[in-house]
Amino acid sequence: MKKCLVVDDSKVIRTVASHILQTLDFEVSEAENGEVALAKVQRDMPDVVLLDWNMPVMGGMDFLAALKRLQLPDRPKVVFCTTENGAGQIRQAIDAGADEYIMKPFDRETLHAKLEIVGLA
Amino acid sequence: MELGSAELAILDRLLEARTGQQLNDSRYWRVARAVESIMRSHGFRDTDALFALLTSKSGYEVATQIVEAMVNNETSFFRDATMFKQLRNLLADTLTEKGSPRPYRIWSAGCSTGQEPYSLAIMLGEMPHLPGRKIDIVATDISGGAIDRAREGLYSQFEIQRGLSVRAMIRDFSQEDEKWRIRDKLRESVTFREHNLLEPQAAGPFDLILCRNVLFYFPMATRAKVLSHLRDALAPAGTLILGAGETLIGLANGLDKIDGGYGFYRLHSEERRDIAVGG
Ligand SMILES: C[S@@+](CC[C@H](N)C(=O)[O-])C[C@H]1O[C@@H](n2cnc3c(N)ncnc32)[C@H](O)[C@@H]1O
Repeated sequence: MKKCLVVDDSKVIRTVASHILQTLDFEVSEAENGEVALAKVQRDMPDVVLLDWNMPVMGGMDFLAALKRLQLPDRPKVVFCTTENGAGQIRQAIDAGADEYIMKPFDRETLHAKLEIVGLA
Repeated sequence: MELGSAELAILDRLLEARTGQQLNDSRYWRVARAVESIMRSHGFRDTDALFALLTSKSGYEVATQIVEAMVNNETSFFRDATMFKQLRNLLADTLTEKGSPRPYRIWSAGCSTGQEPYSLAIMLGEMPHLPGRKIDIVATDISGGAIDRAREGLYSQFEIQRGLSVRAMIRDFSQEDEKWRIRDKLRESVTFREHNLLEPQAAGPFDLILCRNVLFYFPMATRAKVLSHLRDALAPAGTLILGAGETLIGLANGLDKIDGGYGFYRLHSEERRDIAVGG
């Protein structure tokens, strides 16, 4: 079973995303900010991280930079999933190493297609 | 709002006459919603007023509106990713073959709001190793409203991210407020036209025809007719692609399924030869 880590400070969003991911046969874990997520990435080795932009303690862009510094042999794919929907921000995220980008709100089909694009569905 | 059987019969005849499609129970809600929205936009209080106009001489326009609202236009970018992967391989093989000075011609039949032909254009743009053979993409639909939207090439956030990679989105579209507009170069690479598949296609032959998730809505006899028009528009060595769930079982069709291809068809080898000899 593929593993996904959902990183978002909103419990509601985490619950909704987790539910969709389970219907797509993912084993899901959750983190409420980038710092917690970094620890969980090293412990659980997820295949993909669904990442919010703005979060307290450590936001999405800082998480991405920290993840790069870890130099993991199998870095998980990173899919930004956020309400930051400007082309400039999207470009910035891609340049920083994000693999895909989903603008909230999204539905199951959209998430499924994006996971397919990064080779995971 | 309730529609009576006499009213449903009128709508059924209208839809079939214009598009070849038939109403069935599963579409009842779509039809009821279509009628409701048209009534609202015209300020009609009850269905009697609408049906009176619909069946009168000046009813053509409102009939068109109702037909467009009844027809399913659902589509998305790169709908059915597996098909697009196989198509990419086929095009990589076909378009690198040397010796054809004539353009490679593609027809997206039943293109709805343009996501299918634009996906083709985007994919071809990502294949820079193709030699300089010119590629024409023609895209048609019966719905004037859908064709207008396709020509405009402006998509909501919901539409744009369904099936499209973020890299393609950033590279091939520009943002306008909450929406995303296809770049001119891609828009200009597709020729959009209104066309009814119940009529022959005069603009053939095409090396590649996509007619996906369209035949499905027709009764058998109409499918056969539409299929004969598609076949007549296919170049001798051309490929026809149907939707993932669509089969030609029960239709005498003169087409062979290509092994391993997901809904890919070619003309029967004999017909291919006849055409080659005859033309
Ligand atoms: C469900 S959409 C499929 C769009 C696209 N091919 C895809 O697979 O995503 C079906 C389209 O067929 C069009 N259509 C229905 N009847 C037609 C007809 N008689 N001639 C041409 N187009 C027709 C509809 O207007 C609609 O846009």
